[in-house]
Amino acid sequence: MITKFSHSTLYVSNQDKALDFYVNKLGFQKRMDYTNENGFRWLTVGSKDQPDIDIVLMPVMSGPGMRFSKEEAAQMQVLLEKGLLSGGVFETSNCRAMFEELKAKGVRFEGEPTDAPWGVQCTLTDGVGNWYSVLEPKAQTWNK
Amino acid sequence: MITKLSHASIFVLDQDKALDFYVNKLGFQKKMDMPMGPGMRWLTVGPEKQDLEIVLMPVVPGMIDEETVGQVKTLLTKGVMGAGVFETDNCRATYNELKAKGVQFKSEPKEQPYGIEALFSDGVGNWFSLTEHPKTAK
Amino acid sequence: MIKMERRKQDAATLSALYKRIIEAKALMDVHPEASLDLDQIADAACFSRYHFLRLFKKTYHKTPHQYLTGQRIERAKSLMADSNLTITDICYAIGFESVGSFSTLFKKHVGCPPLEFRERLWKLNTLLKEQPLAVIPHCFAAMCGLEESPEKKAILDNTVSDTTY
Repeated sequence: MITKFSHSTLYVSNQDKALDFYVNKLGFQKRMDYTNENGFRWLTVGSKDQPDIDIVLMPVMSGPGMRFSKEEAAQMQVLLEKGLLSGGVFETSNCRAMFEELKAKGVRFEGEPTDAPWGVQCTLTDGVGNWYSVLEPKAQTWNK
Repeated sequence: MITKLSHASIFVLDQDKALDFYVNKLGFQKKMDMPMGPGMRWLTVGPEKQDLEIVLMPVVPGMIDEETVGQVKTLLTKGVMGAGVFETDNCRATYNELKAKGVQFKSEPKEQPYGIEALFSDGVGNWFSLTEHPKTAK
Repeated sequence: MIKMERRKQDAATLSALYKRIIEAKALMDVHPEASLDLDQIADAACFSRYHFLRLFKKTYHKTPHQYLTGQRIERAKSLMADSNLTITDICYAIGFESVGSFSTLFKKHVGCPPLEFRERLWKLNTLLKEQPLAVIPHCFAAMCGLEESPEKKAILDNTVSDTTY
């Protein structure tokens, strides 16, 4: 049977900027980085606390053998540059502390952390097309 | 600090049909199913023993920007948006099981240097590797 | 009105508190190799030792020592990946004083000794350069022009099926 999801795809408008965000801002590990002769770069990152899941930072490219046609690549690039796609949900040990830390590093948030029945949450963008919720689950919420 | 990815998103055209595929065909658990507004639910699935949840994201206004809906639907149905990797404890057995349930495979299980791999589609543009790694190491 | 003001004040106090913890954490992030003790780190954040320990653990679910050790191990892994330094040099570069204790701690955190980890990493990187298809899952490889195969043709012919949705 299928036991787990091991690679999640994330389209990004710029892989260098994406790498800077996930490694230098979020503190993730760079897992693989390989560029072939066609210019396609296989780039994956992941959290050190989550060694069994890789996030693939997928470029939007067209060219010989590539999946995107020129038109599709252009459409996709526009969607990413407008930041219109959802990347998923991250978990944090402390949402408000994370908010302060990442804000100081220049990460863009939508509003501030808010309390919800399931914990404390906020929304950020990776700056290369994707928005994330970040959740501090209820059991870990600091009782104020 | 951010500790992990807890939810990964996959776009789907129809949440009910997607749920049927991921639960009844792939054998995943439905993890969360909550109404969020007209025509959309917060619907997540995932393998039983994995914490990570897969969000079955409908392509409707509200979940994503209204002007984007048409474009995403087109890109999705053309099969250019989705790819991911699922791991399995037995690729050949899982392949036979899923095939019998009507899952579309793009390739049969094949030996690769990293294990045995087959490729399948969820029928709406998302397609996946199904990989069995050697027992000794990943 | 008074409740709202009180909430605003509480939020501001909390924010200021987190900023100080973050400064201490940043010290460990930027210089994990520096021989810092808990008092120095707490001082940098203007906390008493006890108060800092308690707040850090509550925020990050690890003690400062556990966190710093983790950062050192990650730095060691990066140096193994990106440099030709010997294991001994890496051990000293990240602030350990004994290769033996570094190796033991590394194995405890990573699951194998430093030398074995490095060898595995080099093997993987070599394989990635020389035979990328031996490493990259084929669903991605086929999308990106890395191979010509019947599977790739099937993928390129992908259409929405009537039998699914």
